[in-house]
Amino acid sequence: MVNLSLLILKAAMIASACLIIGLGSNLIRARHIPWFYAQASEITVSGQKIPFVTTEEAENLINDPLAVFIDTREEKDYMLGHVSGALFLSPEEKENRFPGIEPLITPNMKLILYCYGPECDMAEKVSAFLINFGYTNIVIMNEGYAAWEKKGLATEKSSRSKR
Amino acid sequence: MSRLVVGFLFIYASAYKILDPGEFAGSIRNYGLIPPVFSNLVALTLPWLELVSGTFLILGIQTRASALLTSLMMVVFVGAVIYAYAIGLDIDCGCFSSSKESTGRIGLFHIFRDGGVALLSFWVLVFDKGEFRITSAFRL
Repeated sequence: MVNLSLLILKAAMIASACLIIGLGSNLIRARHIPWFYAQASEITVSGQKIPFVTTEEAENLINDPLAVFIDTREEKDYMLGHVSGALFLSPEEKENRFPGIEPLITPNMKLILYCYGPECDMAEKVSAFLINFGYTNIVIMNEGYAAWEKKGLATEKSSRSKR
Repeated sequence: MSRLVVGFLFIYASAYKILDPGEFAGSIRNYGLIPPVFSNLVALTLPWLELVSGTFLILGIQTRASALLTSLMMVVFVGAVIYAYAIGLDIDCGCFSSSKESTGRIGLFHIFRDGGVALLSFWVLVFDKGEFRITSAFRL
């Protein structure tokens, strides 16, 4: 029992030393990261600030005729389920699919882009594409479809992706 | 021999994480197993723990304590990989990709690989006799 306690104590001391080394080395790093992660409230894409919105904020826009959800995930996942009424426009197929959805999204509309979750950059890539076509009222639902579905919000399936 | 294998594997695994803790923190958040606020703290500490434990195992310094740490880390890693596999998680994008072409998708290979390392680590913890210690080289 004493040996086990001593073993655990030694392991704890090594772990503590590594914590100090890790945090200390981060301070002297040119590109250091904060010790505690805080989600950014917006990103800058092609010189334009794109705010993040929560699923609750996005839900308030579901019935807004001037708001359009755009699903930027892979088509297979879009067809399995997406936000009700969301259009499909993934980074890989944006050039091919955009002509089909362009008539449905006017420049004065608010576009709510989403992908899988906070670490997914697909919405960011599609927003850069849309900015080039003059769309300026863009937000990203950063929590992604996973959070939307988990909260039991309005979803639908497709046999064919909306163009 | 097991000690050397586990040691080198941990040192190898720690390299890119020490060089880019930001990206590693993103991967941690993609697993969704810990509150995101702590992801940076884990990303900054864990790689050094891997490096130091691995080095200690190779040199035969505090072998049992280091093996305890590597074993605990492998238990967590295997658990995380099994969870990711079960839900079809793609670590690269944090998405639940159904695409088989996705390079970040967890597969059985990852589970068996990490499971094997975990077994080796436990072997060192329980059976290592402390041979080939660097400190022995300095004894008169």
